[in-house]
Amino acid sequence: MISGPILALDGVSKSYGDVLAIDDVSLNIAVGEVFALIGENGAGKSTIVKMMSGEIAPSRGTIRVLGEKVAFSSPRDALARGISVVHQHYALVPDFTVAENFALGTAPLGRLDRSALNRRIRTLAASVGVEIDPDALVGSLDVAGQQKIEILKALAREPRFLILDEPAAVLSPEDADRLFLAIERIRRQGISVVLVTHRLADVFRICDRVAVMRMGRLVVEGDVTNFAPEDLISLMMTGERGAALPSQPCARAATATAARGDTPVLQVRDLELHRANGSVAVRSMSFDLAAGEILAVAGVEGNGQTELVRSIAGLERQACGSIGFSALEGELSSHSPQALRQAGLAHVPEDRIHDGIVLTQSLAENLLLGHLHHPAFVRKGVIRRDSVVRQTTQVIQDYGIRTTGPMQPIGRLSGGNQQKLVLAREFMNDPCLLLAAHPSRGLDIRTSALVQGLLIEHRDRGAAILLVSADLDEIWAIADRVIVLSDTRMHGPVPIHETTRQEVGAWMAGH
Amino acid sequence: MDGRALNDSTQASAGHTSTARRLSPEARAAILTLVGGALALAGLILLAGESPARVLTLMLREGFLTLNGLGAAATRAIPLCLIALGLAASFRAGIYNIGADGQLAVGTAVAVACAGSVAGLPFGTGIALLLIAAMLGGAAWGAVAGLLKVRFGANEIVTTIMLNYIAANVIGWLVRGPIQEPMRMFPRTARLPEILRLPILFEGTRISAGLIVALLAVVILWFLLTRTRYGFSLAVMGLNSSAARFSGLSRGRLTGGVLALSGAMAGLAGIVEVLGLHGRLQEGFAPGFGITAITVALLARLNPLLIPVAALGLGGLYVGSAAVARDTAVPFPLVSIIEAAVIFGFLLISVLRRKA
Ligand SMILES: Nc1ncnc2c1ncn2[C@@H]1O[C@H](COP(=O)(O)OP(=O)(O)OP(=O)(O)O)[C@@H](O)[C@H]1O
Ligand SMILES: [Mg+2]
Repeated sequence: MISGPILALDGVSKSYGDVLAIDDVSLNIAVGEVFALIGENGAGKSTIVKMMSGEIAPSRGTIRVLGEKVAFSSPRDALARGISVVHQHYALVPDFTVAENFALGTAPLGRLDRSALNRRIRTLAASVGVEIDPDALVGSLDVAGQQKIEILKALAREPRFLILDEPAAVLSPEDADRLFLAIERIRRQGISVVLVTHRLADVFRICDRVAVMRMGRLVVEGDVTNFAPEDLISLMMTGERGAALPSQPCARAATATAARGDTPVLQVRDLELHRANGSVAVRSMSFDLAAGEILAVAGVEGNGQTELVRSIAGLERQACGSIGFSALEGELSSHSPQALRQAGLAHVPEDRIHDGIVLTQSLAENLLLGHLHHPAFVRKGVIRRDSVVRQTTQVIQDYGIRTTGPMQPIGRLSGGNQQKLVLAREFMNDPCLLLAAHPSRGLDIRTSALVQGLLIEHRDRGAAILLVSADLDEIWAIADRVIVLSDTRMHGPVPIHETTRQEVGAWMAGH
Repeated sequence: MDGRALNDSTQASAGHTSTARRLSPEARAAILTLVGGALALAGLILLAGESPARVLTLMLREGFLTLNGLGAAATRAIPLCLIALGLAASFRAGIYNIGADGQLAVGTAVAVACAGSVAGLPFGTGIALLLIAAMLGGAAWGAVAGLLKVRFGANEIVTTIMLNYIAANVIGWLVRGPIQEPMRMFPRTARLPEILRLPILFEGTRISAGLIVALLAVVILWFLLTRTRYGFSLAVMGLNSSAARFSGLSRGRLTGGVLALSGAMAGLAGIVEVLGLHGRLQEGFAPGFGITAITVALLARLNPLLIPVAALGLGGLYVGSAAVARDTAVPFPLVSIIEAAVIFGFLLISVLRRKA
C-alpha cells in the first residue's frame, strides 16, 4: 500500500524573465483524491499543471512523485511515471483522424492496426458514454469534440495521475456530467485527479480538496467541506476569506430597452446548414435579430451553432436560404468578410487559439488584426504604431489583462487573458452586429461578469447580439430571446421570460 | 510591428527545459552532426590531396579579406539580395516560392526584348523602363503560380518548380532563335547599347549602380513588410492563416499578390545583372541564383535589413570557393559541400544562441 502523496510540489517557483509566474508553491496530492486548483485568470494554474506534467521545469523547488525527487525533461518522462494531462489548449494534429491522433506517441513502431485501434477507441468512448467517430478528421470537429478526444486520449494511457486543465469549459452540461462520472470511477480505482476549473459547482460536486491560487501564490489549501462558495470567490479575488465582494453582475436591465428598434439588423430566412462533413446540421431556420437585443443560441454543441455563426460572418456559404444584414445591400453572402467587418460586424470566434489570435504576435498586433481599416490605426496603408500601442495599453487597463505590456506575445498570456483581448478587440468601435460564440468561456468569475456587463451595455447602446452559449445561467442572465438548435431543427425564438429552463432543456434533448 | 522578430523571441523561450547548462536533445544532435560532418569533410579534402586548413583559409581570404574578393562578392550579392527580398515577403506569408529562377528568366527576357524600342530615350529613362518591364514580366510569371494556387489549389512549391523548367526552356529557345545575336554563334543576345548599361560605381571593380537599386529595395521592402498594413497582413497569413481569414483578410488576393511581388523582385534582379554586369542576355547568366537566394533569405531569418549581409556572405563564399577550385586540387563539387557545411555551421550557431 502506498502512503504519502503521489505527487508533491515543494517550494516550487517559476519565472519567465522578470515575470514571476509561480512564487514558492507547495502542494501535496494524495492517492485517489480529486484535487481542485482554482484561481483567477493568470493566477498560475496552467503553469503549475505544466510543471507537474513535465512540459516546463520549475526555476526553483522540487517535485516528488511517490516520495522520489524527479526532474522531468519532457512530458514523456512524466508520462512514464503515469502522469497524464489534458491541456487547456489542445495539441491535436488537425489533418489526422481521431484514431491517428490516438496512435500518435503511443502506438509502437511498425504497422498501425487500424481496426484494433478503432475498436479500442469505441470501447473507451462507450465506457465514458460519449460518441466518437474514430475516422473523423480532427480538424473537422468543433472544440467540444476535440476536447473529448483529448480526454479519451489521456484516459487511454491508463494514468495513475490525471491532470485536467479546464476540461469542462467547452463541454455541454451532459458531456460534463459524463466526464465527472468518469472521474468518480477512476478515483475509485485509486487514481488521483487534479482538476483546474472556473466553475465552483464542479469543485463542490466532485472534488475532495481545493487549492486557491492568486497572482502566482498559493492562498489556501484544504478540504472542500471547509469552504463555502463565497469563501472561495473571496479568496480567489482578494486572497482573504470574507472580503466584501463586488456586487453580482448586471442585475438584469429592463428587457425592453429604449434602443431596441423594429427593423431587424439580421434577417435569416430558410437557412439550411451543413457541417464540414456534408451532413445536415439544421434543415431550415428563420429568425430576425433586432437592434438592441441579445438573442441566445442554446443547444448541445455540434448542432449547427458553428455553421450558423460562420455563415453570418461570411466565412461559409450555405446552399439554401438567405441572410440579410441591414448595414449592407442585398444578400450577405455577396459581400466579403472584410466588407462585413467594415459595415459593423464583429465576431468572437469559438476557437480562440485557432481562429482568433496569432500566438507569436504581440497584444498590440492582435488588437490591430481586427481593425486594419480603421483610420486611427492605419493611415494610407501605413500602420500607426503609437496609436495601436496606446489603444492596447488602454485595453489592458480597462479589461485588467495580466501582461507585461502591449508588446508581449499573446501566446505567453494565460488563456483567460487572451480571451479578454479578443473581446476587447471585437467590442471596439461599437459594432452594430456582434456574433459572440462562448464569449466567457475560460474566464474567471470576475471577468465573466465584466463580459456579461459589456454585452448588456452594447445591447443597450443598440447593438444586435447573437450569443452562442452552452451555459444556461449565462443565457438567463443576459439574453432577451433564445433559440435552441437540436436534431436538425430550430426551436423558438421565444422571449426568455416566456419560457422555462425545463422547456429549453427539453428542446436541447430533442423533444 | 515585426511579426517575425517576435516569432523568434517566442521560440527562444518556448523550448522545453530552457536550462542554460543542459543542451536540448536537438542541439546535441545538431552538434554531433556538425562535428561528424566537419570530420568527414576534412577527410574528403585530405583524400583530394589538400590540407583542410589551407583550403578553409584560402576560401575565407579570397572571399572576404582581399579588396578584389570583396568587390567580386558584392557584385554577386546584388542579385541575390534582390531575389531574397522578394522571397522573404513570400515566405513570411507562408507561401513557398521556389520559382525565382523562372521568374528571373522571364522578367529579364521581357525586358531585353523591349531594349530595342527604348534605346533611343535619354539616359536613365530607358534603364528605368527596362527595370519596370522586367518586374512586370517576373510578376506575371509569379502570378501564374498564384492563379493556379488560388483557382485550383495547386501547391505553389510544385507549380513554381515546374514553371522554372518552362521558363528555362523558353529562354533557351529565345536566345537560339528570335533574339539571338546576329552572328548566331552563341546562345545569347546581342550586346545592349551603352546607354542602357548601369554605370560602374567603383573604379576597378564590377560593382554597378545595381548596388543602389538593391539598397533602395532593402529599405522599401523593409518598410513594406514591417510598417504597412500589407506587410502585416502577409505576416498574419503566414503565422495563422485561419485567424487571417476570420479577421477578414482575403487569402487569395494576398497569395496571388505576394507571388507576383516576389516574381517582380526576381525579374528586377535579372535585369540588373544584365544591365550591370553582362550587358546581354545569355543562357545560364544567373545559375541557381533563385535557390541560393532561398538560403540568403533564410539565413537572414526573413528580415529585410539582414538580407544584404547574408547576400554578401554567400557572395563571398562563392568567390572563395571559385578560388579554391582554381588554386587547389579540390574539385568544385567538393567546394559546394564545404559551402553547405559553412552555412549549416552558421545556422547551428544561431540556433544555439537563441536557445541560450
Ligand atoms: N511563456 C511565458 N512567458 C511569460 N509569461 C508567462 C508565460 N507563460 C505564462 N506566463 C505568465 O504566467 C502567469 C500565469 O499563467 P497561467 O497560464 O498559469 O494562468 P492560469 O491560472 O492558467 O490562467 P487562466 O485561467 O486564464 O488559464 C500569467 O500572468 C502569464 O502571463
Ligand atoms: Mg490556464
